Amino acid sequence: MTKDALLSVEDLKTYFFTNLGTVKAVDGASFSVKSGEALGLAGESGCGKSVTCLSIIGLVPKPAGRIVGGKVVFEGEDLLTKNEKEMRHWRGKEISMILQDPLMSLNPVHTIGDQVAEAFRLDKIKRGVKQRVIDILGSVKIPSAAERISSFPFQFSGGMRQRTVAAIAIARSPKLLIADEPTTSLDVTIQAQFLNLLKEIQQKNNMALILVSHDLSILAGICDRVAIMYAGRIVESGLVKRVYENPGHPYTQALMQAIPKLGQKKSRLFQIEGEPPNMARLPTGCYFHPRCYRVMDICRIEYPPMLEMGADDCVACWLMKQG
Amino acid sequence: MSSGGVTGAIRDVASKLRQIDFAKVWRWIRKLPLLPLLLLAPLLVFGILGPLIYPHDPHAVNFPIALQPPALQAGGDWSYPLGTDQMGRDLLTRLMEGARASLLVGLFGVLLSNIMGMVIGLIAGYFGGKADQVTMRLVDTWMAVPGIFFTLLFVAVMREAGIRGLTPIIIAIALTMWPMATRMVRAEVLGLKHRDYVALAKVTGSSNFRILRKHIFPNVLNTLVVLTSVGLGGAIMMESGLSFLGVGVQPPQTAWGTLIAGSITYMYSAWWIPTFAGLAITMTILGANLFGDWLRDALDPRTRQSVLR
Repeated sequence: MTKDALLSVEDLKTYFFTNLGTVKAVDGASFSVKSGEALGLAGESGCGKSVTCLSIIGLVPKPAGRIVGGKVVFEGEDLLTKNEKEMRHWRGKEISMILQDPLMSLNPVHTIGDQVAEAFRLDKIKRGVKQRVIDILGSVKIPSAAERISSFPFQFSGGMRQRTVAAIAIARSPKLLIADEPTTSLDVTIQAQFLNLLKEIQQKNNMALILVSHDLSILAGICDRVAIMYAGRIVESGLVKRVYENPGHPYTQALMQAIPKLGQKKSRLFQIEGEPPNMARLPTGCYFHPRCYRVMDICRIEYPPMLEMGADDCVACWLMKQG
Repeated sequence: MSSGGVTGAIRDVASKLRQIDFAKVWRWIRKLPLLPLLLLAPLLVFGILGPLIYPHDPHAVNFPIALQPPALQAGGDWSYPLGTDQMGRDLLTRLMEGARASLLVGLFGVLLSNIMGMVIGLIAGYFGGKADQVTMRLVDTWMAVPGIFFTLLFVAVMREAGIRGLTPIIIAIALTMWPMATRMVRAEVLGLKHRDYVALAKVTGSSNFRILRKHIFPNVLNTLVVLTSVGLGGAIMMESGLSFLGVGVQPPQTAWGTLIAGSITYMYSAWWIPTFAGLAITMTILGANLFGDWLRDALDPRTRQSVLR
């Protein structure tokens, strides 16, 4: 893929070996992020978005989950070849992550200040830690941060806790921040606030961001590019404007039609027929073909290759091949 | 320290003392459970103060007043409120001395067992895999061995090896009790290690040891405190049993178990010796268990509201 990428994921395969068979949670996902760029990762529930993120940072739940193939190249080094101890060099300092449920991400027995300070202690910073903690909490807009550092997590609201988690994640100024559905447990107004903050931090620190969400409208507002995932693979990626206005893959097209639009007088929203495939028993050929409205014969036999449509755009669909 | 030196230190302490809100302290004391503390009070007071408050010499033999009944019974005397034993020693003083042995053995036994359980449980639960399998099978096997059989054997072997006193009893108790603590801690850790704050700590680059120390340990501390209180009762029970069987605390030192064992011959004529010694054991164990229950409720965030707030 592109050479100037900060992170490029190539043909990543993360499987879960369960009693019910092998679940191919991520099955050949490829995408890349340039430094300072915000990439949105979208897809239905269970399509492998979270597992992709966990694979990048090396936290796939063991022993059921295993990365069986592919590469995760960060600044020229393949992270999948690193062991647990070596990975600590990248975690936090180079790549950081905000987890799905921020409300559970803070340890109830330590104060807010103590937990944020942990990040600085890892960098062996001894002096001025308190001031740094106050500064970083201020930068994520915790009001009167100096007084708040001795509070416990339960004294914080959901939005404040999520901002604290963000502060911890960016404390060591990573080059890449992965945010896995950071706003699912927040209400809508707080959601908007937090996303704006995330965008602000990303631009100020010139940090790359991978934002995972099933909400396409969130991604549209924040990301430069989006990648659409289906059944463990990226089916389409491209600049936000292009993907939203002129989606190439039938799946993306269907997703776009399913977004309610302001002023639209339709009683029923568009829905994609059928349901996401069982990840332990994927269909032959293109994984989307049983639900696709423009299915062709070749779709049932062979999975389409990733076709580059331009500098930034890729679509994996046989339709594109035919033009 | 601001001004340094001894005077500075004293001034610091004094200012700290002045900052204490005594009304708050009193409110906190009011919340402590009355009954369990009352039951445990004799053990703690006599165990800690010991010789300072003995009314008589616990070892002074005085045959003329042997087997004198308690003060309230005919023939009793208020200078020996609970009567005397077969050698004319004051029963109250002997019970006080017994509290000492029980407190020492019980506390150190349970602490040692909990430290073992904590370390092994943390490692087994957190790292899982082979370490977990091996330790848990060991725990299963160990729990199948009858405790009293093992302790008897252990203390006897130790004595043959010339190691006497309270140490072998403490070690024996710790060795029988650690599997329980290990299981409890491990179970707790299994849940804790999947919490998101552990994942966040990993993501920010914390080492395993750091995560254990900073995020897992403080969260199992509650369980350990409760385990210590409840375990204290069990340990004292075990010590009494061993002493009763004659392998525990050795004469001339007194323990509640030896008191009962020694009084068996006189049980029909001197009811007070086994009765009061048995009562002491019962009170202490009941107190420890009740206090453990209260602690569990008090430290559990789900029930804390009703107990502490």
